Amino acid sequence: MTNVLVIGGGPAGMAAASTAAQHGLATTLIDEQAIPGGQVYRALPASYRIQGDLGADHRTGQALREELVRSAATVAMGHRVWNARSGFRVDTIAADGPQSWTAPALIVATGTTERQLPFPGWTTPGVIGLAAATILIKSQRLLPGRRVVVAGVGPLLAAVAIAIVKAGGEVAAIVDAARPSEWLAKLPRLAARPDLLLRGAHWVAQLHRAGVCHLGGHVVTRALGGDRLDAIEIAALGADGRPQQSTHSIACDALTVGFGLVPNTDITRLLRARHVYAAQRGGWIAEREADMRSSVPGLYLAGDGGGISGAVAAELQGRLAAFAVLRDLDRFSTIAHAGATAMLRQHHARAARFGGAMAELMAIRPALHRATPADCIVCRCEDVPRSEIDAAIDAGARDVNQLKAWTRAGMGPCQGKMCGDAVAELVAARGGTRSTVGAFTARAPLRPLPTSALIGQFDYGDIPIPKPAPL
Amino acid sequence: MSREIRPTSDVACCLIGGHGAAALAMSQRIFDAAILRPEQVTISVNGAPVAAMPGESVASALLAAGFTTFRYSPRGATPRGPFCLMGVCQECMVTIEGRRAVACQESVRAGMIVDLDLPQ
Repeated sequence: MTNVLVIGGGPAGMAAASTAAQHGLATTLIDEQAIPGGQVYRALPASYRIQGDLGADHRTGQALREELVRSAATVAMGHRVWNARSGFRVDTIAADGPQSWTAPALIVATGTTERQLPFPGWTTPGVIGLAAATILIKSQRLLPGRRVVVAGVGPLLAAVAIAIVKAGGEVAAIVDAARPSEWLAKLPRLAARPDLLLRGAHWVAQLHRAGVCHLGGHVVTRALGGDRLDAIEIAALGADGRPQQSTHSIACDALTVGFGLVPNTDITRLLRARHVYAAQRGGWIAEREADMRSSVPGLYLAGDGGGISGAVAAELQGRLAAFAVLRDLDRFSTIAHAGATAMLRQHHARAARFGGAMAELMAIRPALHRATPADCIVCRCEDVPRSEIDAAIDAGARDVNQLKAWTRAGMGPCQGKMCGDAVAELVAARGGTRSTVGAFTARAPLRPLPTSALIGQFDYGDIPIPKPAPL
Repeated sequence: MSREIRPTSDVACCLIGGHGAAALAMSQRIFDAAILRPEQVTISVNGAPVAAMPGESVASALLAAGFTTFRYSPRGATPRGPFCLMGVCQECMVTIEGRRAVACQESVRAGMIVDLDLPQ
């Protein structure tokens, strides 16, 4: 019998599962990747051998992985969660078929996906996310292109640019929507973690030395190319926060772009936890108290999926969530729980202060979304341009689910995970707020899955056929 | 940086050896001393042999071999390639051994048969 299920194998999930198992809970961790680590500590392919030091991030990830292996937690990798029900029951699909898991406690540590700002040509092959570039470089040891533009907003810009430069690639430019003054305004809170602040400053200095051009207060307005990317156009942002006329084009074969992180809430929405819209913490998030309990008894939230506060805070939240489970299952007394969590809380407060300031830099910029051109594709899966979204709003769509039904925006294979934020922003722009326009309803299956995998093996002879009713 | 990381063709060729060296010469692979890759294998992409690293994602193998477009969108018929590389966006959907699969979530095995739905 499992006492606690953990969904997600990033820093929060790994720390939660290790802590729970170390204190005697029968724990199972489920994740869709092949190796734990999440996106931030994503491992190299298992077939690659490491024979040296790959840096601080790799060491941190490796320490968390080793702690997990040493703990008695069961680790189910390669399992995609496609449904979650109260109680709790979690349904997954893996290479060898479907599986269901049950436990009285569930820790959701599903992290974030990247926020994207649609712009004409963003579906061109060669345009990828910033997180995607990180995965390519760190885990797959592949450069996104030979000449790369790094664009969007937030700390990932410098992190990705420096990774490209170190790997021997060329960064054609960094196109940063934030102005330097925005970073300066956050300095006092970023100083909560002087080590991380120093690392950031070091990156900026290295990029400067490498001669990488940094354009603050600019955005990419168009990607040009057919089957592959040829160039991008950029524009400066005006005083109203909207892009002005495109002024320059930059030749490149890859553009890596992202506008912050959006917490993954599909599982907590399926489980009907109470959610709030908190733009400064990433958008829609499930409510959680200081010990990571959600509004649903037995359901806990750890990591950025419950509000952006960064990898360091995520790990501490994972441990706090595990201790809350131990308390709620009566394995820990109130006093034991308070003792176990006192130091964690202090560390967490400091880490969250830094992470919170970062989250604010990455918060959604409504003015940018409102400037989306009419012919620009917003929903990639269903090729829905802004003009069709506006037409639906003109016809009376007032929330995102009404709009989804009328336009198919958010109805494709990704289930609105790429466009959800952009669509909601466009609806809110025409009347209402992000709270009133809502979020796409989460429905199983959360990930596309072949129905044949669910049906399993059977013969037609096995199907019971009722006798005909007497006439 | 203490460790040398070079995406250059000569390193690729000397580590990987003759077969497929021409394709790798054009690749964006990052080589460094701290990571030892396994011997490369061959997979089939739309019937043609492509050099790949066992264990890397099918999306990585295709990108390294110079494929940028993996499919066309069903409504607008515009070219698409990998976008999120973490199994969310579904843009890198291909056919692997007759099964629809997201290329960024599948690991390369020797002899794997991959088909991209591209116009001839």
